[in-house]
Amino acid sequence: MAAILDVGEFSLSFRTAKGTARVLDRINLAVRPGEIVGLVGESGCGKTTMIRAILGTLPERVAQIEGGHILVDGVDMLGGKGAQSMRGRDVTFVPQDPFASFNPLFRIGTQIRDLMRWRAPGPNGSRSGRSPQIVEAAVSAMLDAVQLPPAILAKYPHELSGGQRQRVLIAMALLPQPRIIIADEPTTALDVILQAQILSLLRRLAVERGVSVLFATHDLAAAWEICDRVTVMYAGQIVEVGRREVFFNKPHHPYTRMLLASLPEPGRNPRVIPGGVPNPLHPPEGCRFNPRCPNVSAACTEIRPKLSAAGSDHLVACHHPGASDVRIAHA
Amino acid sequence: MNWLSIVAIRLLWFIPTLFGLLAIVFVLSRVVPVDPAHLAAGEQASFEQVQRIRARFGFDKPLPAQFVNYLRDVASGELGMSLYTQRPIVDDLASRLPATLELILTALLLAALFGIPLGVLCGLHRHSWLDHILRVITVSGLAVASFWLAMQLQLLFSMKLGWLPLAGRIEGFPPDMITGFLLLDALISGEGDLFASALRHLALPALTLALPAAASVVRFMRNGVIGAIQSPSVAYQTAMGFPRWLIVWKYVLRLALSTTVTQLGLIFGFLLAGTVVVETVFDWPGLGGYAVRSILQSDYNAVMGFTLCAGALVLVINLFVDLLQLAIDPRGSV
Amino acid sequence: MRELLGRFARDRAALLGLCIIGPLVLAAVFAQVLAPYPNDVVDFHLERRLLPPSADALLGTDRMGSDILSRLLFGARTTLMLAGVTVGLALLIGVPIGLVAGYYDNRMSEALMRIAEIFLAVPQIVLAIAIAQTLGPSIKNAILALTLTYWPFWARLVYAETRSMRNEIFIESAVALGASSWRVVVLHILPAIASPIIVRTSIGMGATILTAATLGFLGLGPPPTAPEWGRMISESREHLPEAWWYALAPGVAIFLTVLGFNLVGDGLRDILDPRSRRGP
Repeated sequence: MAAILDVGEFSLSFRTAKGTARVLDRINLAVRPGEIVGLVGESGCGKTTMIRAILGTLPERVAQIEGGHILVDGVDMLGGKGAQSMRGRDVTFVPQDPFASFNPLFRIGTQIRDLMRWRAPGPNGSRSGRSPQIVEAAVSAMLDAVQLPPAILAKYPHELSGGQRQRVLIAMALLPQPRIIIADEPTTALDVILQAQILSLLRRLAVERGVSVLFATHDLAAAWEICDRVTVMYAGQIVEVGRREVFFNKPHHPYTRMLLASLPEPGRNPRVIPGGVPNPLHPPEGCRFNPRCPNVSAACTEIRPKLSAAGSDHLVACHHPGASDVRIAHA
Repeated sequence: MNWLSIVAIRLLWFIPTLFGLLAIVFVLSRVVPVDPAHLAAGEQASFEQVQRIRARFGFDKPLPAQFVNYLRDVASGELGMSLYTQRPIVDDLASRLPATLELILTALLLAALFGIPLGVLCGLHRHSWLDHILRVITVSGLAVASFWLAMQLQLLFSMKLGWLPLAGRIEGFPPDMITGFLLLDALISGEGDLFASALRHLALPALTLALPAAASVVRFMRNGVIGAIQSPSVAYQTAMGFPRWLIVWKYVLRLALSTTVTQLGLIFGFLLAGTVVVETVFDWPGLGGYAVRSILQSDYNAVMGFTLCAGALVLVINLFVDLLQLAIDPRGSV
Repeated sequence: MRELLGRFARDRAALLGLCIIGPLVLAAVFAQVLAPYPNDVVDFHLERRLLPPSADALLGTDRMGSDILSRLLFGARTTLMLAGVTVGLALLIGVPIGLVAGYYDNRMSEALMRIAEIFLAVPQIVLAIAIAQTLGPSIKNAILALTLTYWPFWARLVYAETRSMRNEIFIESAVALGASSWRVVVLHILPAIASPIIVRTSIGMGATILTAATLGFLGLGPPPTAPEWGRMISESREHLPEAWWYALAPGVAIFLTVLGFNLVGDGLRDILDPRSRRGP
């Protein structure tokens, strides 16, 4: 099956006052139709930058694309026109900050209507606005689906709770009938109970409509909740990709193993990964994890490992991958 | 805070504030080294004449009594007589208020018409040549002395080129007084010539007054746009494919406007202060010129009347600005 | 600190401002030496009145025959001193009042701020004119009039800033650790709100110069013979349009001076207080 989202050998740097920061290094990422893929990594690993590259919201003068491609449904998202018509239609976005993502001076309804007016598909799949009645009906149905009352349309963003705002954003991400939703840590700003609700809502709606999701998060538990496949990113490089069960039970990459071991579990102390995330201005040669890896060898410091198969539908970028069982206490 | 409560609270504060204003001006006017009765009577007056004037205007009573009398008069709408024009001050003020308002509103309109779009463009294209040129112009616009600018404009457009009149508000007899705004009155009465004359007389004073206001508006809008463009809501809308022009001219514009409107009270203050100078130079028959003349002539009742009027005007304007702010930004930041 | 100075130095506009103010201050201080006709401040030569700019008198002569350039240089002294003292006094009065009112936030604070609001209700120029007229034309009275109408601005600014600072965590901890009110205000709050004050001081110099010039233009402030820029412009009015140079020089002088202070103020704002994109 052709991937909906195809990121190939994508590299990107930031020009800073202190030099060039190589933030993304030959990223390979794929999301197939109808699947939910988690992009997991700690803060600062480059997930948000990757997201912004896909969405086209990178800071213009500072970001430099060094190579590779980003395709959504075959369309080049790094170019101009083709990408623009995909945004808000085939590719939608659920942002991290539900409050700041709304313009505080306009009602929710206004902002949704503008989305529908300019982005939602017309009847028979044509790309222009629909009749007002159809739009109203679609919006009502969607609000229903995210369990929000229609009265919400008349309110201003500051009058809604965090959970309500996030539901509106999910609704807005689904209304244009996209092929894929890019979600950037959509539950970070919410408390744990809300998180679970929102996540399960997102998953249910996406699966119902056959919409793919790229779900970026630093929270492994959240990834476990809703993802079909998980991609691990470390310091701007993809280190492991695999199906959820295999990933959580038999991780191959040392970083993944240590990441899972660092989750708090009853009965033992969380095991911290020694060392720190490398500075993107001076990243280590070879595999960027080598300074912290317990299995490091000479090859690791010179040659960068490629993503290669390690089992069915499982990829690892490591010179010494090894499967090991990791029990996850929570289900 | 909804708008009704804002209006109510403000109206309540009107009274004590005006009271305080009057007290200050009253103290000022009586602290003079010159006997106001003597001043009113003139150099050649005889002793009896001075005494008569003193009794007539109540200058012989003790200070607190004078103030109380004055307040009582004000409450009943009687502001006294102007020593200079020999007319009731209320009439003086009533005839001059529309002139000043016409001037201020025209200047504000010009400032907004030019300032808002230019400010937005500057904010969008930071560091472009347009931005640099406009920054130079705006900084300069705020550094020029209004009276000097007024004189230079007169020199150029009136004396040298002869395009525009030197001073005054209109040539010949004004149209029938309906609103007091000559432009509107002339339009309503269908007097094309008078309309043209009023417009030509309004041009230079309004321009002089508008320049610093426009400069302020450009700067505020520019900063507002720069701030808004960087906000997450714009990033979200960009990511969701909203057309650029929609994002800028609907969403960013409103955000920038809301930050500018908070400064509107300030801008009005500048405009009001500016009328003092501009009306003097252009002989514009408004409140500002009246104030200056009254003060220089030691026409104390007129000064107090003006202060009352100006104070009330400022309070009304502030109230209006706050309501406008609430309309633009529903979060009700006060 | 050095980093701040470095960033200031890279702001071309701010540097330009300094390049204007620097020579201006020097001109004011050394007016006696720089002026071609230093005695023209008091002397007049009616036979040389209203001459256009020439090699003899670079900016022409005024209605009394005095060299405009010389009077301009001495006028710089008047202007800078007037503005400097005014702003200084207004700060000295307004800042403490604002601090106290903002910190205690009780009925006295309310009263103080109401008084300030009343002063601010009428345009500063009007009140200044009234006071100056009452007191009579002199530099001292001009300073008094301007200071009396300017301190409320600082009081209100400092009041607002202090009130918002009061709720900051570091203030709460200082108080919890037992610091006396005085210490908290002077050692903690004051440094925290110094930035907006400094920024507005420079811009305030410009604004005060304009107001002072307006007073001079209306015949108030320094007495008739003093070489004040605003007064010089007023004198030139009846000699327009022939004596075009008469009004030009002092007007440009005012413009450049205020421009200089505004540019420096903008530069200071960019480095010290970038989040406050509010007005002057």
